[in-house]
Amino acid sequence: MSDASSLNLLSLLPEMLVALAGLLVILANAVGRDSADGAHRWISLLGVLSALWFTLNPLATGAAMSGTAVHDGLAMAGNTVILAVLLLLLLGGESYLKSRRIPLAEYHSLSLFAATGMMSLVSAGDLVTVFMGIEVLSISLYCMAALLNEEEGGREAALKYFLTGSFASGFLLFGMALVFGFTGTTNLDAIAHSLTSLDTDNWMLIGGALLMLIGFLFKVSVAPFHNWAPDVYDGSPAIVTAFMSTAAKAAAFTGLARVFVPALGEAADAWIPMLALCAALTMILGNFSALVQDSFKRMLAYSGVAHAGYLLLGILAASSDSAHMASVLFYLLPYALINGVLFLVGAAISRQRSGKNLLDDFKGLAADSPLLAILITVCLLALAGIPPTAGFVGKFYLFMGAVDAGHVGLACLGILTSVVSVYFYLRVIVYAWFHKAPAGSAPWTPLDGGLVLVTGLSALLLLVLGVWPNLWLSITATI
Amino acid sequence: MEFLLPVLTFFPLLAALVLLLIPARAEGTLKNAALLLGLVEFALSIPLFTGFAPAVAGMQFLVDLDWIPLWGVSFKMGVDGISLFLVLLTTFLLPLTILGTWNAVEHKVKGYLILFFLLTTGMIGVFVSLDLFLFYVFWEITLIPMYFLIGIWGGPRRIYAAVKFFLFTMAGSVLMLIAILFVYWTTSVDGHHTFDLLLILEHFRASGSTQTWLFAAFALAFAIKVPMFPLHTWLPDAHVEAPTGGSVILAGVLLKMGTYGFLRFAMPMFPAGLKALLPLLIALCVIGILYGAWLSIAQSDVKKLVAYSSVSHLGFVMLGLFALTPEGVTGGILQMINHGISTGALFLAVGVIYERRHTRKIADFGGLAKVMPVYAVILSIVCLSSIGLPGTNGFTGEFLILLGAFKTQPWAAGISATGVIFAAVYILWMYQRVMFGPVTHEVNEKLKDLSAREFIVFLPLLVLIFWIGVYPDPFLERIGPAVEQILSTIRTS
Repeated sequence: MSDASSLNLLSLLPEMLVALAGLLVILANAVGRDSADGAHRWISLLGVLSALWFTLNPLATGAAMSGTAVHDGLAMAGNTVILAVLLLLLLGGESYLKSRRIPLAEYHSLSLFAATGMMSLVSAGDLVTVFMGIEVLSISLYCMAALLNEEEGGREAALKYFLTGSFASGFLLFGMALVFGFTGTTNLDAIAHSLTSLDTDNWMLIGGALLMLIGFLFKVSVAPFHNWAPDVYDGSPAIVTAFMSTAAKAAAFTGLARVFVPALGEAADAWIPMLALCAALTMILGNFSALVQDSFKRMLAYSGVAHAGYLLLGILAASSDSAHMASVLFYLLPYALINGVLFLVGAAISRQRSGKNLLDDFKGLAADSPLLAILITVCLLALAGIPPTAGFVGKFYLFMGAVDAGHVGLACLGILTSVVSVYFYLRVIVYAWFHKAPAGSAPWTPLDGGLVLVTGLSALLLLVLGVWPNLWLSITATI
Repeated sequence: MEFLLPVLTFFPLLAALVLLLIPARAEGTLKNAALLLGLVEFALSIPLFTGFAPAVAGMQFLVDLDWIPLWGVSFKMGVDGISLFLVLLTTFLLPLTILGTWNAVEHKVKGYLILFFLLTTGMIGVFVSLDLFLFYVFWEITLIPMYFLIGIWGGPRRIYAAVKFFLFTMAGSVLMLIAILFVYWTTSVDGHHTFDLLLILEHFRASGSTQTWLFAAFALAFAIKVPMFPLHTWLPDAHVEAPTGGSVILAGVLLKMGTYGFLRFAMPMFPAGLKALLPLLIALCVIGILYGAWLSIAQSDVKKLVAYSSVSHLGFVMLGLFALTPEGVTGGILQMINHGISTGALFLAVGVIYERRHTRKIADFGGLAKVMPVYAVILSIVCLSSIGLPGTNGFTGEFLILLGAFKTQPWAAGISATGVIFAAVYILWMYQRVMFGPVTHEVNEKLKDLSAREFIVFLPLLVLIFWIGVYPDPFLERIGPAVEQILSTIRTS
């Protein structure tokens, strides 16, 4: 079944289902016009749910399409995270989409296409698939960032995202060309194989690896290549931010892990110092920049940068023992869920107050809605890495790998900067619980029930995984 | 009996869920239910005392279940003579605090009570965990309820105090996490890594300098919690701002997590590190004892006075532990319990007058002995036990500590002994200004003496003060064997 020369199309079923759903949405829009609004959502939901089912219960695994795609544990975990985020946004985002008048057909089809790109990247077995996946997801996200282009910052965000994104793709492609020039192949397995017999101390290989790394680091918003993230996250519609800061990051990280750990692992000496340096810089810059933000979205954006730094620790650990890859995969799920929930709920809460996603909008939340206050508290504590949440277990796993790989200094830096992060996460909690709503605020109107339900379930899942991580460990640790 | 420890740990969590189901408007029902659940928790802990075999040094009531087998994390709990009384202290103070602060909390009673029970789960978990991962989880969990107790029900500067409390403790404990991970990867049992404390004590080996670093990382976490000078600055803020119930638990139990951590984890795991840093630690203890006492003398706020006195008292506890003699360590453990009882009672007593007058300034009182005779008697007993008058619990503890410390650290013990004198100064002077003399403020003339409820709260505390003061054997005979075992671990490795 895993014969490299065979097509093995069945293993690609999840990707195909998601892409098919995207096409059906467009078709439904063309046929049904405005009356098809509800159909978009149902088609997407059906596509995502069936894809998720076949991801967790695959009909076939292993290499597909002559080795250009590989469905292994890594792909399974990565796809699960991407689809889980998509599901969360589908179930919880309806009220947001309606209230902001976001074109439904465009939104749903683009998010499904972006997910197709992400899933291809996650299961890539070839540099060409990696690049294709990244481009499909990026181009869809460029468009999604511009869905609210009438608003202040919307166009700027989309343009900035497009320009930096293209720039990064350029680096990536040039790096791939060099690596191909050196090894004579684009297949990841073949690259790994050829590097065992070649002298890795070669400018072409090192240059190629570093250029590719820069491209990836742009995509996952690692310092010093992170400057686009806060502006783009802030200017894009919240639901799109929720998508790109979680699923896209998860996909890019899985892709990074795939290309660098197994394929370029032999040349690790060339890229590890740069990765370690970037990780340190990212954790420091991300956390300290988040300290001074007044916008909830920008704060989360910088916190996302900082978390990319923690995830790099996992990649570093995996480069010395590939079993530690599991820590990256494990953390991606809680990370994605937390941010997805926070962006969605944050936007809904902000609409009741200033509408500008300010931290001040959370003042007095506990008096208005204790349930929501508990919800965001759980998410923020999870982001801060405090037990008994999945955020703690995930961070613990990452640091565990880093210490094993001998990066004790980096682990200490990471954990100390995460104390800094506690301060700005607590700030929101302080506003929500210890402050009163500003005088003259409009009376509270309950949020959409679907949103509360699905985000509440996500928060519950964070607690469940925090107490019983074996559920998710059993999937991530099998790679 | 087999699963007594998990039951004791998680019953409060269950109780919190039960309280969650009661509507917030039914405050009377909530309080009654909380008191009942607190009493049930205490009743559940009695078999722990009666079923405990005094002569056995090792862990009892052991529970060892798989939790995260992939990482070698187990759900392992047990008690020995050291943790036994800390668990009992926690369950004992829970219903007392609920009853003692019956009317102290005027808004959001439901949330307050729920947080109390959640906090209890965390604290008991810390004292019974025998797996480093499990321990760390409980250790961090205690932060959250206390943070909210201070932040929501606290005084005017509650937000500052709550955030400071959280960040100080968090900053201290994260490096301990890295140290735990380091120990985990260094310890290999049959090719597997483990977080099991008992296995680590048996198999972990490291050079002197590595141990010093590891000990320092653990010590930082625990020293902040104790708190030892100069890491104590969060404590007065937290105490002054916290509601009475929060203060009682904070001083009574939470601080003991630090002293307990030293004894259970840092000292036996890294004896070489302990020896390297011992002079520094002893010096900090002595400074803490004297500095805490001097600061107490200067306070004009009763609660702040008691808060600083905790710094001094816990300095004594740590001196006893670092004496590394059976008497000193036993005394240190006994003094942990004593401090929980006496200082808990002191905070409750401060709460009594605060509820009546809404001030804690010493200058706002005076001559209360005439108006509140019963209160005066009770406060005098509590104060004397805090000073360590013979016949009260404080004496037994401090005497053992100084006896043990004189053997190994004569200079430190000698200087610290003066701390007892300063303790008499700040406590008795405070008592004199609050209780004796003419009634200087008219409002104070109409103050009501203790109600029956308040009297019932103090009664068990007074019984324990005299019991430990006069007949400490039931305590000492249970603490002794465990102390011998810990000391032999420290000596042999």
